[in-house]
Amino acid sequence: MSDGEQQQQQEQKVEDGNQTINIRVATSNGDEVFFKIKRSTKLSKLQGAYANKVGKDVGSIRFLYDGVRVNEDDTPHTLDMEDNDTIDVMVEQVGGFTLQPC
Amino acid sequence: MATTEAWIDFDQIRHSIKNNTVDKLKQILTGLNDECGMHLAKSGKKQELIDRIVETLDQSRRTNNEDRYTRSKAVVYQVRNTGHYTPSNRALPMGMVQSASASHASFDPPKMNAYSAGTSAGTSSIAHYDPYAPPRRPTTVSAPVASSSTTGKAFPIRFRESPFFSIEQAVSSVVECPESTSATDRRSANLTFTLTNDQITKLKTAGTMYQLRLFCTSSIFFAGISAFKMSPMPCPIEFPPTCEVRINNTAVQANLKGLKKKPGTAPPPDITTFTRLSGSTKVDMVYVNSQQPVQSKKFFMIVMLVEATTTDALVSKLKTTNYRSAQDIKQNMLESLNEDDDIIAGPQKMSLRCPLTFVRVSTPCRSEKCVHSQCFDATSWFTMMEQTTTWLCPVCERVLDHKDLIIDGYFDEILKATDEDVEDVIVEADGEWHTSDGRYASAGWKAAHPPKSLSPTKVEDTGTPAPLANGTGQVNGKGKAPEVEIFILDSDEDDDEGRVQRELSYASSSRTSYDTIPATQQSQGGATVIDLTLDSDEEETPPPPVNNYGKRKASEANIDSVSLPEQLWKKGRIDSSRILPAPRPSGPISNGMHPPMSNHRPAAPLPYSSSMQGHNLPPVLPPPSYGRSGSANSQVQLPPISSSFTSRQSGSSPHNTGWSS
Repeated sequence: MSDGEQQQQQEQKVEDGNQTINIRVATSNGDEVFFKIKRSTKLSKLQGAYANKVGKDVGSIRFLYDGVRVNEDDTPHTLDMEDNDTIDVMVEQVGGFTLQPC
Repeated sequence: MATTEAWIDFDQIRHSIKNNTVDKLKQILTGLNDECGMHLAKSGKKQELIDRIVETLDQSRRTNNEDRYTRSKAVVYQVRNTGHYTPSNRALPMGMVQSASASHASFDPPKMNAYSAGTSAGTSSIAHYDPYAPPRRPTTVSAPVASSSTTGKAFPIRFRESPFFSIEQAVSSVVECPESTSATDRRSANLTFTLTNDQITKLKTAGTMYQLRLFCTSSIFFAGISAFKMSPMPCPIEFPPTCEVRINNTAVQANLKGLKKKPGTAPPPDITTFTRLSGSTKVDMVYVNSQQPVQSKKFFMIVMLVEATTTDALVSKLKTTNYRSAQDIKQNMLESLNEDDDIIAGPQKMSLRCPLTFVRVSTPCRSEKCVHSQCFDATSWFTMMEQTTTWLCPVCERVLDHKDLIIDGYFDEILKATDEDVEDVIVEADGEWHTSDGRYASAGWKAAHPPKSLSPTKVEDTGTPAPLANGTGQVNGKGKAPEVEIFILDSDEDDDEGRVQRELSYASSSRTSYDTIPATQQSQGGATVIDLTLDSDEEETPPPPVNNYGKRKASEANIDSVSLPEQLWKKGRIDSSRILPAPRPSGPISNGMHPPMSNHRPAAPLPYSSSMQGHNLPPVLPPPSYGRSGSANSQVQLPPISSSFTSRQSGSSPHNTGWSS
């Protein structure tokens, strides 16, 4: 009953590409940043914005949604994200990379 | 003509770049930076490194910068032949560089010194590339090498600056420590110095922090004592990977190594206390090259008089000179807002604890260049950097310049406004902040949010279908069963949920059967554990199929338990055919349909009441199950308990007649 209604609402949301949703980007140590993003906006944009905000290089972190890595072309729409969903941020392991001052 | 000759091997060189390993590429970049005064980054992916080098070469070609090209070429060859780049051009195999420098004012002969003559590797293979070399070499070699004894005033080696000390003067000369070729090739170097009166006075002066420190760097960074030109970059401290330093035969215990393979991550050791004020002091360094892969490099050691600064002094200086007011910082935050309309930054959680020490920040500090508002504690940071000089920002991991550090007034304001026990606050994009419970907040936020509304985080929608939740909740309330069933019908996707539910229904059903079972029988309940086997026993005596459906259904039909959700049923079907010992006919029969009947009164079509079957097992075994599970079990007599169990099983495998129709 009420459940059915909810589902309907969600479907409507999905159809509406311009609707904005809140996405929470959280790191493993508890830091979190919220973003409001259109459902049709590529998440790469969100990645960039996040990296900028926390001062890290986009290449040095990876984003996971529901445990799956977020690709460049993904949008909240394609990933079927809902309002207030969380994207996890992990450190990207780069083998043998050394920070050398130059 | 000369011009064309110089470029003759351009393509070859250019194409050979990509054949280098990353390590070599980095060496080449180091070389280019050094030789050509470039500032190429040495980090990145291999292809980026290659591109950078090739671009440099191309650029030389475009601008017809023969000189630079020649030098680049020399570097490339050197790395290719020796595996690494040795600064100071003296180690270069042939005269190319010298010839180049001869035509280039800023480069001068002195770099060619005595031992350079010894480095011969690859000479022959490359000689033909430089038509000028032979005639000019003599001039370079003959150039005077006067500078090696430089002490005092001008520093012979420029080391990286550190906020913890400023170099006053060199006390000893630079000592070159020959390369050790392997972990077993033990080498030693020593230097002796005598303090001048002036130096002694400084060291003795109360209230100042003059210290003698032993500096050491490697040939990777330092071109050599006699190199004419200073290396473009200040040298980091780098001691041999395995070494022991003794001063007047007392071993120095300080950490010389820093982080492995990261030169510059250890401070120069303070040797003041070991030094004799009068008379000469002898510094011995014994070392082997334990680095893998072996990278042979020389080391250069020198003692310097420095004036040290304490952490506290640094922090208080920072407080007075680099304090940024909260307004400034908030202003910056507002400016950085809304750069992109597709995405709007929302609130951000900011910890009030120092990321280094996990203690509440007392002196909020960060670099001016850091884009994050998260601060760390200045004292903690400096204390840490004093020992491990990585200069990394604990928040964004970038190398900070201590001159960029600021005390963040905004963060300070939050610290002052909140209680000691507040660990983090939520900072809105516009600079307003509040704690997640809303107890503390900035004035602006308080005004905008009257007490009730709290953080923007809503209750999370887990996506779990509501019905399931109900289903689980239903366990304890039999009366609710009908409702539950309704829900379950429309959602049957989740395995886990199903399992849970099965368990739950077990609980409930067993309870119900208990209800119906006489007390004595209940006492046997202790045996519940047995169940499975008992179950199968029971199968031999299941009630006859009740309905008209297929056999399988018939077997399933008996079951039920009060709350047999259809979801379970679906699962159960699988289970019953594969995992569980088949359908249990014996369960309390078929109440699925009539969940509310907690006492298991059989519904009309059902032959047995649960209590009945509790005692003796009736007959018929449904065909399919029989073969599988029935096996050799003794039939009959199942403890009531088992009946309850069965009901659970049946719960899982379910489907009662009623439903099936």
